Amino acid sequence: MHHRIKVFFDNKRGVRVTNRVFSTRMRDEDLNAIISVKIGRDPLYIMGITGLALALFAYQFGDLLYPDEQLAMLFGGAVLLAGGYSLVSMTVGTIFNEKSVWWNNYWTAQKVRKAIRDAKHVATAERAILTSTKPVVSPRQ
Amino acid sequence: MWEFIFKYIPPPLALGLIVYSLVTFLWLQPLIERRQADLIYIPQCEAGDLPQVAVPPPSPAPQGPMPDGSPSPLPPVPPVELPLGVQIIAELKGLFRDDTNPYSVPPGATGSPCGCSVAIAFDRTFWRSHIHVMSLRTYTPRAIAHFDERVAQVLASGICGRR
Repeated sequence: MHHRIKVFFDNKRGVRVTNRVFSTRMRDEDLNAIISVKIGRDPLYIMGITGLALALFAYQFGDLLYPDEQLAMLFGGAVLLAGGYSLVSMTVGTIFNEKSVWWNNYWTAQKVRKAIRDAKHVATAERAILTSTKPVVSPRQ
Repeated sequence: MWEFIFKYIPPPLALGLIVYSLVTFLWLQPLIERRQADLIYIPQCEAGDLPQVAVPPPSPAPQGPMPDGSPSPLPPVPPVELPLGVQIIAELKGLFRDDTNPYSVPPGATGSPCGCSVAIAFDRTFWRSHIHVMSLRTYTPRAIAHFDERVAQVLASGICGRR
């Protein structure tokens, strides 16, 4: 029985979600082995604390800083905060066997997460059809 | 111990705090120390309006260990090399307190009694000053709030010479 490969996400740089695998540039994860998909926000904590503290430092010690220095610190803190918000890791796997397989921005990672969810729905439906003992009835009949 | 800590603090949060404390230790506190020395305390000291501090009386002449105060008849003790761990910790402390840190009180400033007093006063309030900067002026102990008293004490002790 031949099944066509359905592509749910492809960014043309090696990151692909089909109804069989989730591929990053250096590794393929079988969708059957993916029980959980997590978007890791570790950079938000690390860069968020540093950026927030740098901006607050520029505000609290403004009397001892030159204005351009203060502005540069505020800007650097804002950049760190924005970067920490945007940068995420994709952690996929089974329970106790989760790996961070991919780092990208928050919005693309959410798209990939949705693509994996859709692909798993399709794969589950296909498997149900393959393993069912009852004949598949077309809704048109 | 670590399980207990990481049960309540997520590891990335702890790592963020470590990164922030490193940034404070290596960059922000030396910057603030230098600015306070340049803009506030060295000019205040040179203008001579430091607060009055009590000066300890001069210590009496050193007495020997013998009952009548004479020096010991034993030969002097040879110098002992410190344990390796003590040496390593001293070098690590030197990393933070070193004069080669471009942001700390400039070495040229210590040539004057006022600059020397300010530098030594900052050295004596090392941890308090760092925690003061790290807490973004939330923690302000007495030694930091009245830092000019510390400068006056060092100046009055005479280790930097007299003005």
